[in-house]
Amino acid sequence: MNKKVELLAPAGDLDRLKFAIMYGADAVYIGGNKYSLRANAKNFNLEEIKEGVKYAHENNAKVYVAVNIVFHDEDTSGLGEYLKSLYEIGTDAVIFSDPLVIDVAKKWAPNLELHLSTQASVMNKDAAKYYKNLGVKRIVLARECSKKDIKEIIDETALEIECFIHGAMCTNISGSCVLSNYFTNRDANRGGCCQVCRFNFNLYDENSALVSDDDNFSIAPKDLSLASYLEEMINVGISSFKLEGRMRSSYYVATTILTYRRLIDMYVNNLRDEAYISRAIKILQRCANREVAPQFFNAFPGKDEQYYLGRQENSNQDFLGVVLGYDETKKEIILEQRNYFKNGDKVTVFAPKMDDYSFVVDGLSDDEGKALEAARHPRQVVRIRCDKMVPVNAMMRVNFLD
Amino acid sequence: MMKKTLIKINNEKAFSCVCDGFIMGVKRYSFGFGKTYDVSEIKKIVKETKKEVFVSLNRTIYNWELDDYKNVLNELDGLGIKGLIVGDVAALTYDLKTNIILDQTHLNNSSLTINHYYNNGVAGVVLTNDITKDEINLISKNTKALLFKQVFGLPHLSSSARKLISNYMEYFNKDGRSDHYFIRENKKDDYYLVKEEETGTYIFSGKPLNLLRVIDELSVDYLIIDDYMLDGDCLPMVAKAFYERDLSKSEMINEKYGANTGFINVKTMYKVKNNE
Repeated sequence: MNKKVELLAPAGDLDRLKFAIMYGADAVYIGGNKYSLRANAKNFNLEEIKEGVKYAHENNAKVYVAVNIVFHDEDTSGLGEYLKSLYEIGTDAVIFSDPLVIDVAKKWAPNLELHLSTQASVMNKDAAKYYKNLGVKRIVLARECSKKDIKEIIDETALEIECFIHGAMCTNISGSCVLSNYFTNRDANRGGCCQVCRFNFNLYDENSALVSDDDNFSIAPKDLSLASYLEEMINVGISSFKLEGRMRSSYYVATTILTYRRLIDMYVNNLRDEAYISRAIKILQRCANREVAPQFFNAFPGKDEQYYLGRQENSNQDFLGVVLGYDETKKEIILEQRNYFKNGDKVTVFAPKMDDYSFVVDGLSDDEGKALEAARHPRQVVRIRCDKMVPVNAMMRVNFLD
Repeated sequence: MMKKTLIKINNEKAFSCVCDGFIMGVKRYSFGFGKTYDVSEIKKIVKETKKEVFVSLNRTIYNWELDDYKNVLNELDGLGIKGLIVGDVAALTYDLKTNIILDQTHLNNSSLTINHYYNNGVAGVVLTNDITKDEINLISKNTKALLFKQVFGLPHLSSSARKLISNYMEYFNKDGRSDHYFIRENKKDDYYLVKEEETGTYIFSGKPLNLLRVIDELSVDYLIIDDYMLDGDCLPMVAKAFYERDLSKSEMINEKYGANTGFINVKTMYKVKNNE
């Protein structure tokens, strides 16, 4: 196979940007303080973008900045200068949905690479050609596209095509939903979406008779996971595989990126390993807090791709900590704790350039060497007896596989 | 600014309303219409009427539909209609002689965006319902594109490709035979209309927009009146009130339909953090 494909990670801040790249992302997408569809996220100022770009480029990765709101007139001032600044600090591309960005970029930053957001909902080759003719290099297709649609669009346009492979999904066609505006006055297309599609409702028929069982009617979809279809997606010619989640944690980013990195490398290098595929699917399912489905890629979604469990989401305390160092003399991991664990627990350490290492905690102490029964406090620095040397920034999680 | 009144055709009776023109839906390519037509039916109506006829293909188009979609557009192109209202920019790549009006439901909110499309062959746009009167009038100052604005009817809130009603009924083994449905959150008063069509599921506000009181302040070219999913018996009265600018009917319309003015005087929140 040996086709070059890009693994594209979300990054909500500089810390997560670094973890994403460390754990195998070829590129990250981020939002600036202005013009980005995650108004509620921490987002990056220009200095932070500059630092992120520098870090990424030093590690052979790219940074794409989302400028993907649907603009009102009041939002457009300063856009030209902003695009120029992004270009000057080395941003590899901006992801936009509103075509005014094409015109403004042409004037202020003509060499800035433009990627069209899924928010523009391109579902066909002729719509793709419209943007190609205007100089757009890459299109993030609508999540409603099937494998056949994607292949034909690639074959007919020769554009770079980016597709989501993992994460939360809108139930509605992106850009075509303002439920949030009407329910909460938050502008869905300017970063204020409050996810009405996750709400529960009472459903009434045309005669006002209640149809639902109380308020169990929902329009929510299951999250997306195309882990089982990666090989087909590579063969179809998709250029970039994108994970959703600029508001997700560094653990989520590291786990999903590392897992997809290993899967993609396995397929690209013709090293299919059924045992690893099975483990990878389990890891990804465990990391997600909702049920997942392939949605539109392989078939038109029906009832089994909907989510009827209300706002119930599985949260777990799998993430136990980040490795700060390894004391070779004492053979101890120095770990910053994230969730409770204790002696006797089965844990796994994972990092980009090592095989996952599982062991039972047997010898736990605080930073000063005082023995502990358990690591109880968030951000507490603890030492764990471990014969195997593990790298800085490795992560430790509950061993849920063995 | 001279404003023309267009009636969206949801049933045959609407043709008799007083107005300057009609917007007709096309089978397979329109959503949010009580009635849609095939090309031969549209051809007949265009021949018979002296009013302006716009034809709406307001849906996003799947790749597999493109050949047929293009054929339909080409057939419509020769009929002498006033404008083709399209929801998908694919239509902008075709060599069509008829004026193209872009209706992307919620995507055209700024002067620069509308001018982008105008400079790329679009004659006009259907403005979103998500912007204020001041924003509309600013756009009007800054563009040569024709501006269309819904002034009466249920605002569209969302389009999903999924069969959201059928999926629910199947999952919970329920019998769903209603033409349309309503949703309501627990302990909330507001209802929203849900309509599942062959092409997907669409949610509309439960209360119609009525901008009769502000139409003289709106700098747009066309006013769209739409009685989709509403009691159509009152459409002639509503159409006449808008056509004649009879503002005295505004309260009556509000009472009859529980109508409101939507976002015409209300800005949506943008940066949530700054506003909370």
